[in-house]
Amino acid sequence: MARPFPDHERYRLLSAWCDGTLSDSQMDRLDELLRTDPEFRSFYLEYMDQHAVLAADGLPVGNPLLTDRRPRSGGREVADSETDGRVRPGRESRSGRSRRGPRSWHRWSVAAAALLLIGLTAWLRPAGRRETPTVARPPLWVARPGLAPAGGFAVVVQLDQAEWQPGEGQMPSEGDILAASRLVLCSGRMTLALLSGVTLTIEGPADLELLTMDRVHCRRGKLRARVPAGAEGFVVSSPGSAVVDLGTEFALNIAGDGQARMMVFEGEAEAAVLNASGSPLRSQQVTESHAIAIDPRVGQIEKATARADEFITASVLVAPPLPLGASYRSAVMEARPWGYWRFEAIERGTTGSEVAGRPPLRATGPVHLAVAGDGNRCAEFGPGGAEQYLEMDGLWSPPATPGYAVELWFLSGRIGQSALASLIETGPTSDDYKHLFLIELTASDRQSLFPPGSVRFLHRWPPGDWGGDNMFSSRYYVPNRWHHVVAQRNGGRMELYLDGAPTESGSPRPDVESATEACRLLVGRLKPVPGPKGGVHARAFVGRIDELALYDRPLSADEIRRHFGLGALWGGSPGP
Amino acid sequence: MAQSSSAGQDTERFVRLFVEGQREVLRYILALVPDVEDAHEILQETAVDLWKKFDRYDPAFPFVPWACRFALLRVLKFRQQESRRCRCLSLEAITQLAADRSDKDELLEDRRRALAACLKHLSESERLMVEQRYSQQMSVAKIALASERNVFTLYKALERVRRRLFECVHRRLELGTNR
Repeated sequence: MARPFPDHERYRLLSAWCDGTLSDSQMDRLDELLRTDPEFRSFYLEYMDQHAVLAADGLPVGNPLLTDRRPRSGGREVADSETDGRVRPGRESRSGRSRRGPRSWHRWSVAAAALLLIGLTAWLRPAGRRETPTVARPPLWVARPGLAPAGGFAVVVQLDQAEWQPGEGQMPSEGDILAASRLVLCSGRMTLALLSGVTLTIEGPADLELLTMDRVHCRRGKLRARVPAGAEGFVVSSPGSAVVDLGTEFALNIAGDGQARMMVFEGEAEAAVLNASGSPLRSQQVTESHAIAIDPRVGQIEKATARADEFITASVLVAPPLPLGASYRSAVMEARPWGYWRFEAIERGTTGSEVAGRPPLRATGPVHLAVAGDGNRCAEFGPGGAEQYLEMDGLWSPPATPGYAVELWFLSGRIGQSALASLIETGPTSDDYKHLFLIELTASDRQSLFPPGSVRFLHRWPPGDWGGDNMFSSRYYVPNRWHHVVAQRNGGRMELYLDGAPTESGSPRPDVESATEACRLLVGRLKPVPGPKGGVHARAFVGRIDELALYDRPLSADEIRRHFGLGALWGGSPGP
Repeated sequence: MAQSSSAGQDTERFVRLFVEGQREVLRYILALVPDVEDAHEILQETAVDLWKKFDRYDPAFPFVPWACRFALLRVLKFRQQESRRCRCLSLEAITQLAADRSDKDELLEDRRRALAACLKHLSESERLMVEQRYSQQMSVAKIALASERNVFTLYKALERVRRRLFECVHRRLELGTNR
């Protein structure tokens, strides 16, 4: 908590903040107070809203004080171009750019609206700013609301100061899913998650063609690919050469004349120079910590000195916050959950339920708590393949009537098939665990028909190790972004909501079951340890999970929207 | 033809929603980035983002909170990109404020209504200064030049006016006279 401050200091501090005249130490003080003092934050929000109302609205509409008087000095009007050239305490104008005339912003806003209305693509900024970026008309690949465009296979996970070449290729935003398309990046970086699980980082200047989720063509640029198990065979082609990944991480620098340098950081890859018909003329396998130089002009591949600093680094994905406050907890508790875990603390290896008398969740492996923003914490499942999950220290019998609901927030660190939460039958052991319920994330898998990049809801009655009914979200999930999911049985029908929106595809025909089963709840893994012999038992989740709630009834659409809205408005994903 | 008609309707709908809601979005931004020019630039970027993602807007949700979420992301990007040029709040401070703000919509609305009444209680010179500083977006230095007053004195005067307005609004809400 910051040291207490006198009343007059806070007014002085915020008035100076409004005018841009804070010193460095004052800025530090302001930030410290905001981070640590809820009472000061409340004061800040009210004070700054007053400043915002005056600045955004001018004087309130209809106020007789609103005149067109111009400032006068010595009987003459003072033009905006005049400066006093005298003492300027602090830095009053942060931008240093020429100011607009009075109320020009209002005329601009209306003009901008008109530009949008008539579909113009040019967007002018006042003189003195950076070169005008262009705003393309909504790309044709933005097909249906909330749905991936036909053939979409690459999710834009992160853009770092990305500047696109106007008029050349697409200009996507974070969260967009791309189909086959061209991307011309003038500068900055882009991180893509392909639905196969491949993570691709590109640094501009780069000219890249996304062909399929297994192949990209790079005319020039620097890129780095991480290819998880199951996605081997990912190919990066360039003029006269190609690299195929054999399960690894590699980086590739491609010059405009086709010359390239490649380094393998983990695993193995194969590089080839191609003949005129695109077939390999000469090839070379490259193992970990080795590099090669490719010159397709002379059909040459040579070993090169491996210098990691010559290649781009892997993107560091900073998890966005999910600052769910007291209002979110209240909303969930109003819905009367059977159990509700917020992951705020771990004591003696367990994290307790907000609902009195309900069992805690016990941690196995290195799953730990992380700060999700604003004092809110979440469960974090790190990468690395360690066996880790949370299991409820007790049983739950999800009612057959009127139904049940499972709700949680998740942030996945990747596109990959991974279990979020599952209900497993308890009772006599057999060859395998028997599931009654499962929520998991999907990825492209040649041995599966599941749509990739979706949230899958499985319900099996009676509990078993195969079969059951599936629902898949019609919206995709975006790595490194918070999503809200509710999977529930409602009067025998399955319902799946992602980010407040119901899945539109028809759920399987209603079941007439009336019985239930006491089940173990598992979070972050398909089956507990020890796993059964053979078969799949991990589908380990990598990422963060928060606000897990179980209900003895289905939630209403309004309740779901409200819960999602509380997270989305001030911290969660803006929407799919 | 049907497709272009539908696209045209979407455009009109977006423009209507944005024009109706842009002031609130701008206020949201200004509370985090008080410089008016910077706030407008962020609003511009936000508008582009909203248009690009408009097909994902669910009319069952109010537009402004949805738009403010994009605005927050743009504020965070602004902070990241402009941290060398301007003094910005830390990421933690911004996220704390964004979370706390969700509980304040009704109170802030009441305060705005009270503010309109409180402005009438300012003196002539105070009202002129507020108009110059806010409506006409004059810098304090230019106001000082125009009024032939010392710039430090003007900063102090602005601070006092803002405090008077703030406390006036607070009193009106306490007395329950904000009707």
